Amino acid sequence: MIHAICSRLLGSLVAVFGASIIAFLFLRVLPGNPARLVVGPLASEEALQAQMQRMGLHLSLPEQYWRYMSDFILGDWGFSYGAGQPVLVQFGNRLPASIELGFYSFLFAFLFAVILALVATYRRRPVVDATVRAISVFGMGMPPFWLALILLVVFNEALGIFPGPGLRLSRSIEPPPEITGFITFDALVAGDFRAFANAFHYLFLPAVALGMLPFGYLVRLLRANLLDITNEPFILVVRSKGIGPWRTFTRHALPNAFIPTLTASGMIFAQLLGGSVLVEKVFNWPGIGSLVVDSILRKDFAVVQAFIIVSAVIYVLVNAVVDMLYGVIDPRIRN
Amino acid sequence: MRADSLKAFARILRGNLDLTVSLLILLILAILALLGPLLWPHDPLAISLRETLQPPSLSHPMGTDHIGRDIFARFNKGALISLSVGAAVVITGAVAGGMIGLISGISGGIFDNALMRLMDAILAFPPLILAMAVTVGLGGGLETAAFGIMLTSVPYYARLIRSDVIRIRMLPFVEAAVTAGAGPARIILRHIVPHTVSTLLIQAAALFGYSVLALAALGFVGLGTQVPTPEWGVMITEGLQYALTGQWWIGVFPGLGLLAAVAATSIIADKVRDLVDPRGQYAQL
Amino acid sequence: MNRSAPPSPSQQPVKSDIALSVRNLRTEFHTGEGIFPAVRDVSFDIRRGCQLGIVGESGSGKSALALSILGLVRPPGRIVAGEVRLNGKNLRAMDEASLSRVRGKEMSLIFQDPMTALDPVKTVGTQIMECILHHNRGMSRRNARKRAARLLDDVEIPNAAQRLDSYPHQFSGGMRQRVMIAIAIANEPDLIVADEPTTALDVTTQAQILDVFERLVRSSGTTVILITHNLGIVAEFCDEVHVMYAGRIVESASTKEIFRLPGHPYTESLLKSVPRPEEARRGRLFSVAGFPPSLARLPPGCSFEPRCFAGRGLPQCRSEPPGAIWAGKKESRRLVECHLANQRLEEALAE
Repeated sequence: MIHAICSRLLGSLVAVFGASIIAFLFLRVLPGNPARLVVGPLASEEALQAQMQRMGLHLSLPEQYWRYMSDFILGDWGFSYGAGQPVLVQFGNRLPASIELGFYSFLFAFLFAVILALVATYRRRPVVDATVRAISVFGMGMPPFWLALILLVVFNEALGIFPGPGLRLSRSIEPPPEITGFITFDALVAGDFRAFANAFHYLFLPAVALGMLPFGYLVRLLRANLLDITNEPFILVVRSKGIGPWRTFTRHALPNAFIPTLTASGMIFAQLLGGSVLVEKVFNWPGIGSLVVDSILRKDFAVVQAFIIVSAVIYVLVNAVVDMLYGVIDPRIRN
Repeated sequence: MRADSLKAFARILRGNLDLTVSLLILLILAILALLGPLLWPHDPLAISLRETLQPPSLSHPMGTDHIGRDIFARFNKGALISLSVGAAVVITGAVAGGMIGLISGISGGIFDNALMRLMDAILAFPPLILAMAVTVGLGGGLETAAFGIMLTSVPYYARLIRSDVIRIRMLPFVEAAVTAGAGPARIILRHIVPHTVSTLLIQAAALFGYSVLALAALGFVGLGTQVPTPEWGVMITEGLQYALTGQWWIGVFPGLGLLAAVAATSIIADKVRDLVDPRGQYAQL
Repeated sequence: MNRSAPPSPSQQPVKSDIALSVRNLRTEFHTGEGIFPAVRDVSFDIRRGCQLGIVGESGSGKSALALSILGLVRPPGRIVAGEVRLNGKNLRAMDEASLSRVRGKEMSLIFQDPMTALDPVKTVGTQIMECILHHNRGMSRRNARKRAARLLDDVEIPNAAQRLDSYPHQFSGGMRQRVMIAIAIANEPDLIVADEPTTALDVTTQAQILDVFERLVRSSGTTVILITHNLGIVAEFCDEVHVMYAGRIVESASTKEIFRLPGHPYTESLLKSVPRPEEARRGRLFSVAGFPPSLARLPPGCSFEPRCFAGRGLPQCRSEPPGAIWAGKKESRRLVECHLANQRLEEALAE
């Protein structure tokens, strides 16, 4: 067990190391001189040289890599000249909004995926099953940024029942005292249900847009797993004990179907991470995703670079943790 | 023989309504992409300031954008870009990944190990983010975006083909060929490669939708195709600022095209897999 | 028998001599390729405490019959007609809630393959206790656990109390089948349906499991339906035998009589085909010439006619499906579905 964990972690470390080299190489072969972008096209040659010295661009590539990565580990993620702030500070400011959105997206995706997978497999009506499969295909094929646009057009512009882009909370509402930065959570802690409802109202459309892809993916996966499991003989045995269909489903079929679904967590995390870049931009959501898009357009690559490396590190970690969780949850692997 | 396989194909189509509809959708998109420019009088890039922001009508079935370009013409051009670049990404990715998997599976040892660690490093990125990184690094544009997406797909092919090759190498008929004195090149070309083709094809079909979607996503964030090229993702970006002022058609139609293309290919990929290799493990991104 | 089932006001539990009574039971599988009647209008009674064997080739509808009795036929299959009366109560007329009070309490199932018959992510103890607690509302978990441990002890699993916390994958096939038996007898049911309970096990384990099972059901007087294709097990374990072919019971008789004097040509072929040891080791169990007919396209006459050594080609057998007739005399009387039964039995007795 210990051995398995160690070798898994070692594998993750190797992958992160490789990923950091790839990220570094791609971002260092940037056309144009990054120092020139900082000092501007009108700066003198001396100023450019000085900036290059400051950014370490005169060093060899391995030295540059070493310097970048050691700074990175120590918390110096570079300086965003576009925003005039260290990248780390910017990320810190915008992280809560992104995590909150990601959390609700996942909640939406997971909840509705379980319900739909259940509907599709419980009674085994071919028509219902076909409908659910169609929904899953459309969920997976929906470009998240386009869905975001449609949701805005329909629910904001045409119907006017959901707020438009740009804010996390209505200006007319006093924000709850900041504890975590997750407005819905802070509002609940403060007992301010009006703020909670309002923040939820603002979260709703972006969360649906961002959750649609993982939703479609989960429906597909859960449905297939549930079908496999409900065809297992042990389900019949449970029923022969007198356990009703619903309890058999919730106590035996679902837990068994969830275990293989766990392996999809990494993929879902990746979908949320990539999707946030696309969806936040449409809703002008003050999170990391929209920061990244703005930075791309401003050619403020320090931000993009940090985002890419952090994404890879977290993604590898998530996958490693899921692998280990798998061992904890599935008794067949645990022992 | 020909007529037989046609008949078998027709029988499969009759039994699978969703497959038939999906193929039809792709066919329509392909016709629009290839014949649209010939049959439709409007130029996708022609600006007409007298006809800006026209809603869909008979003369402009999908309306016009803020500088009076015909969206239907742009849609057709976008279909051409999405489908052809998507196909190019998938083909190059499959060939590159297949080669790596083949080399890895045949050589084994340190070389195999090094290649697989490299694949792991690529897999350490969320796919879309790596495509972004590559595109940022190489300076944006349609070609770099396509290259970035292709790169992210390579490990999926490589891993599948590698395990296929290792499995096939152990099969009796390969051993028989070796004892019969067949040279390594002959064994690889005659015995191993043909058996990996179906794996490669199914994985390619499963990744086609992802490629099209990722291409549009990169265009959308300003990394891939650049304005004024009528790529679907870019068109959606352009439609964004008009979405809340009532000109919904600018962004909606290209997205519908994307959805149709991606959903259709994913259904086709699923069906092909069910028909050819229902137990195989394929990545769908 | 000391059973504590409270008499329900609506349906007096009629403790007659008949434990289970099946009438005109018909189960069909509706698939894209057509309708497959796996159980075709089957009727029979089982005396209380009887060990009934149902034998036949695979595909003869044995398992479908077992699941039909429990009302657990899964789509695309469904029971389309007939009655199943357990202790006089018509199970087919019950709703799901009432059935769930009968299943696991008055009747239970032992499944074919012990490797897949237990939930892999729940402990063995949980799975036994689930059955106990479901039918004994108000029993504490502690008592249920004690009872589960006693059950494991009954099926001769060593260190029963500790093994309750093990998961199925930690048990061998034979041990798992013991657990299955423990679950099946947990609430002292009147009827146990055992569907090929030992097929997946090696010969030594088979014998051990059967010994345990036989000891437990004999001591409690439980009625058992044992479904198998192993005639050796039938000879050893069962009082009576039904032979199934293409969804019908083609012969029913006492075990002794059926081995002494098979009435149906199919039964005779089965008996002749009891595998010699060397064949059994190669995995061949039956070698009745030919293959069972497709249930979707049964022959118009006797469904065994195309393979029958006695009746193949006879006009009557080809055109007219035989009904069940009483054949034989005195102690060798039995129900047979064969046009030639009386004639063949008389000839055999005359010899």
